[in-house]
Amino acid sequence: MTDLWQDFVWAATRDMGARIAALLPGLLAMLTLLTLGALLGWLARVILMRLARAVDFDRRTEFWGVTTVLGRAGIIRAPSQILGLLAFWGLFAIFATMGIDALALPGAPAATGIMVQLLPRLLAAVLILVVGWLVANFLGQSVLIAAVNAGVPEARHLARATRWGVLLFAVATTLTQLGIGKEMVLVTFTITFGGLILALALAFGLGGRALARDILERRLRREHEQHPREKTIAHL
Amino acid sequence: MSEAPPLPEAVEVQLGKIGGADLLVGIPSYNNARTIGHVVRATSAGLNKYFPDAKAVIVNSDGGSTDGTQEIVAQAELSDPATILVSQPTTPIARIVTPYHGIPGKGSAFRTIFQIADRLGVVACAVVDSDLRSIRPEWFELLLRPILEGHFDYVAPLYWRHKFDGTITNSIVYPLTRALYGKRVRQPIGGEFGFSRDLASAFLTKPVWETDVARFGIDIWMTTTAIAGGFRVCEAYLGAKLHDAKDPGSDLTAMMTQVVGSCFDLVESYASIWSGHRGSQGVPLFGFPHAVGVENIQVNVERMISIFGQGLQDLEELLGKILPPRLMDALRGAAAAPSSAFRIADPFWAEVVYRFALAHHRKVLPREHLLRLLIPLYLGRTASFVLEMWEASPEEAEARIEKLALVFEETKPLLETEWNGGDPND
Repeated sequence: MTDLWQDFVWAATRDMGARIAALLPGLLAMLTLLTLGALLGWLARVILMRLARAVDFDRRTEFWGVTTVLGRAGIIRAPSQILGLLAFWGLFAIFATMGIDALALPGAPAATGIMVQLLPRLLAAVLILVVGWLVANFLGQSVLIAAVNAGVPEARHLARATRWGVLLFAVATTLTQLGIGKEMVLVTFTITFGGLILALALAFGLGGRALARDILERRLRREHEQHPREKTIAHL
Repeated sequence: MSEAPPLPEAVEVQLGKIGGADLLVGIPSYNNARTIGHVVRATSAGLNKYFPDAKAVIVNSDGGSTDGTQEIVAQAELSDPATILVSQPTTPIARIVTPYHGIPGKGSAFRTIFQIADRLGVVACAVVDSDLRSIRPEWFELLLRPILEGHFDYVAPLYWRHKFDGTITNSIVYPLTRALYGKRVRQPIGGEFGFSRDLASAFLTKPVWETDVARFGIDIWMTTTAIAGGFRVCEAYLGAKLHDAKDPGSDLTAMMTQVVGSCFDLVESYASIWSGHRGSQGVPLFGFPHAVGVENIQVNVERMISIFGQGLQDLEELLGKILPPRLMDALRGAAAAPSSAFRIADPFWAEVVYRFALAHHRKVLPREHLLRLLIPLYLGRTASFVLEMWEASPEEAEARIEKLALVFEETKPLLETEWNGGDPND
């Protein structure tokens, strides 16, 4: 009885030892890869941040309106720091997936393969989002300044609508790029955009009839009443 | 230096036939059929009457008119020369009518004129706008004689204008140019100029023909290049300037961005020349200054104040990147006052202009946005000037502009100290 019990214990221990021995190189490899990822990520972060400082990246992004938008979104880090963080976590994520592969766990057989497959699409999606974001801010600012200079009372609303319109378009394009609910995104975007235009048309047509008439009347009156011998200020 | 586009073959043939000339008058145009005939006749009369022995050429540099402008230039003749000319000219005046190449605008038209002047080896040139109604033959005597006999290189015009006319000139360009470069050229963007061949050749060497200089920016660029380049500059009194009616309101944004943008570009280019410079000197004046009647001007002050107020409110975030809080508060205080008491004091306005020049230098915002951001503030300042000078005589209004120019001179150290380092936002 005692022998049988001893055999079982020894067999289980040997089995566990063999399993650990089989797993240990993978585990060590994963730890090495994680450490290497963290180290290289840190190095990339330091180099990128120094480079960003050298090319005055923070001031340039302020010029493009990125800092303002980040601030509005509650992100108070400098753009160069964000760039460094992205580099760190990007590299770390790559090494982490390699580490998962090194473990050769059942159910996670090709994490790196999936990552490599997804990466180009992911990068393209991020690029679309960033460009869309920059364009949205630039156009929003342009519309705001032009509308104020033209004396349009709803200048802020116009600028906001422009900004969100471009952002909406950028997000829809990003999701399509990622292959997330392609048809659904297209339909949602079409309905939302079409609905917005229809709503604006109805709002102006029904609610702003008097205003529209007033604008047209004033314009026509101005054209007719301009005295031929009087001119307006010549700015130059 | 960017290579100038070649002249059209027909022009080359004409230049070959003409050989050389003493004087050249350039007329840039675009759809000016209504007025250009009168301008060409006045030019012919002026050249014949005041320079009968000189070999002269009239060059029309056209931007692709579709209303027959070019044909009118080619055919315009004095109906009765004897009533204007005491003696017959010894040489007929040659005419060159040519399209120009490059960015559509007055500056590109001038470039072609400079090229032709350079090729013909002329001694003196003048340029006049093609929409002028008040041009007279005497203008050419006043624009060309100082070059021919006074050995000046640049003749800027001096006009008698309505006290509320030329507001970008009066509130920005004149005081800024005077304070920076130290020469009192009262109308640096007047439109009509005389210049020597040396200066025309110098203009051609500058790599500016793809910028705003190719458009409305050409006038301030020519004046500043002449002053900063150490060329001899004078003024000529031409009397009233009346031109064909157009809707200035629709052009304000383009004028502001091109003229003020060019001014700021020049501030950048000539930083080593304007820094350390104090005070200003007058330049010699030719002609006999006299008062003339001018057309009435409509000014919608309420609209200007309204845009100013809205600008301060809606553009607060953007303006805050350029102007310090103290200045923003002062402007808000002005906006809060009742319309009749609305004023933007000279020191505040001078600081606004310098802060915008600094923001342009530091690239705080995209260039177009920055320049357009100045429009509501400029309209506010214009409204303030109009209200203050409503009952004033033209002489009093002129004295007021001189006072503003002095404040620009006094405030100039702000620009100098912050140009190379200091924080512009206090």
